[in-house]
Amino acid sequence: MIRHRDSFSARLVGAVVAVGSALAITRPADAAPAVASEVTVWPRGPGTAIAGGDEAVRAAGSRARGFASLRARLEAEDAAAQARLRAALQAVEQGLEAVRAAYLAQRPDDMLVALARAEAEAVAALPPGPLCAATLWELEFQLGLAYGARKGPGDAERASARFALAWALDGERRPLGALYGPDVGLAFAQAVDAAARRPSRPVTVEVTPDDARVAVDCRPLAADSGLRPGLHAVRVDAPGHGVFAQVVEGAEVIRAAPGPDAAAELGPWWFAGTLTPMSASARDAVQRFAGTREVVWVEEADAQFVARLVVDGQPRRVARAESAAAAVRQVLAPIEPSAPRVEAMPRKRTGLWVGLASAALGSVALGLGLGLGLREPPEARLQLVVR
Amino acid sequence: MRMKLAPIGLLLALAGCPVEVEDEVVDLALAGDASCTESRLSGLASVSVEVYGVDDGALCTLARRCVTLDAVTTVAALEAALRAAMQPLVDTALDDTRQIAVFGHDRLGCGEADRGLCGFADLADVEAALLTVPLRCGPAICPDEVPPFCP
Repeated sequence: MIRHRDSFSARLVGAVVAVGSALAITRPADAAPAVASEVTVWPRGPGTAIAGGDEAVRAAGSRARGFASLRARLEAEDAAAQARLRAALQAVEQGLEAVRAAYLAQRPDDMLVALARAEAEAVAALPPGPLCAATLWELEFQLGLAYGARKGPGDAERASARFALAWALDGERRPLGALYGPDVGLAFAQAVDAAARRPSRPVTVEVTPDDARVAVDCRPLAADSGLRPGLHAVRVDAPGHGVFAQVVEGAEVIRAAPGPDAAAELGPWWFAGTLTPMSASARDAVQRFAGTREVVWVEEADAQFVARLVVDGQPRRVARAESAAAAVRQVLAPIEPSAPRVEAMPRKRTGLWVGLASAALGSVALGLGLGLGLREPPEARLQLVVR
Repeated sequence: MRMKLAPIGLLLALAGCPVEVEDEVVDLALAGDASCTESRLSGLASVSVEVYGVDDGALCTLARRCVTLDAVTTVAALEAALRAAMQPLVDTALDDTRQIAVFGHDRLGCGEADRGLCGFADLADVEAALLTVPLRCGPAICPDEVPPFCP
């Protein structure tokens, strides 16, 4: 009879625990599906197929944001950025024409004014890459020529610094001897030789946000390799942020904090394939761009599709599957609550008293045993650490 | 009367001679091979460090520690995530410990059948308090099931 009553109590407690656990574990969206959340399926790059992704979102009980309109915006942003880049390059080219004319007319001050304007425009507009290196090389070389032609106090050092920066931008390129003559070639070679003899020093990067892209002299910065002293073209940017771009003196510490910029364009990042869910800035920027709290990033890796659920900018779950739709379906699948554990119940109240009495007697015996030096030695422990 | 016996026992216990025991602190180092690519590592959501012992001649799990990952892309970053967790990662009775395992999981919570990274090491191979765990990554490499918890 007692056993029967205990069994019933255990089942009752089990049922209560099960209901409580289910209520505690189940996501609020599952418990109250009155308002379905909106989810964006976001392909990592333009070549990523997300066919069936929106259907998988709807099958999971959410509303699909739809990527078609977002893609149109990305394309428009990329086209605008390309147009601005072409305009900037055209302005730089026109500036260089004026610089060459001033050089032939031996008006170095006019050269310096035009070059300073063109340098600022080029550093800000050109993303890292060969075009950036080629354009800035020409500008820095012309600046070196202008300082060399002006021959004012300190101009020889300034010319050498600009030639050294040109060499840092492209280590193989040299002035055309047919155009500039042997004196210019010799000055350039001496500047390169002096720069090459200055060893690289470790560089400390202090940028905000932490995941900002840092490029020095039109190449991604390899901080471990260090940088030589002298002038360097530094560019720091991040998705959803502004751009810090300047030619700076010294290379021991790179400090920059391009602030958040609501007008910053994602299109160029997305089309270049440089938006990655590993970047917190990218996750935040994509969430703002898409306008949904939940974003499922989809990419192809190892001949599979990887779906990453990001909620409020934070990575939540990852799933892999043979198709984008299956990966999205898996990553949005509700988490199954684990089986509730039924706690053992004391059988009778008398057990409590027996336990108390046993504990009291046990403590006396243990105390006497320990006092007499008969206690069990404490166990040695294994501790695993990562230092 | 009975309530007064426990403090007396405690006093007697404190009067006993101390017994020296030496805990073993093992520093883990992770070593990934070429299979642990950025794309595979970035798919991991959690990592578990598990200690196995023996019960009745079969391996069983003595302890398991689960650490959540945030978009790691290198083995060094995985190690940094473990370093950032509260230490020690695992604290268990030294007796009966045999092996340790490190598993990377595609999902949070270090569950089953979601392992995309694994490494095993024998505690007998600890040298100068350092144990290197070689890691491999990829689908269909790691076991779907691990030893049950020890009784």
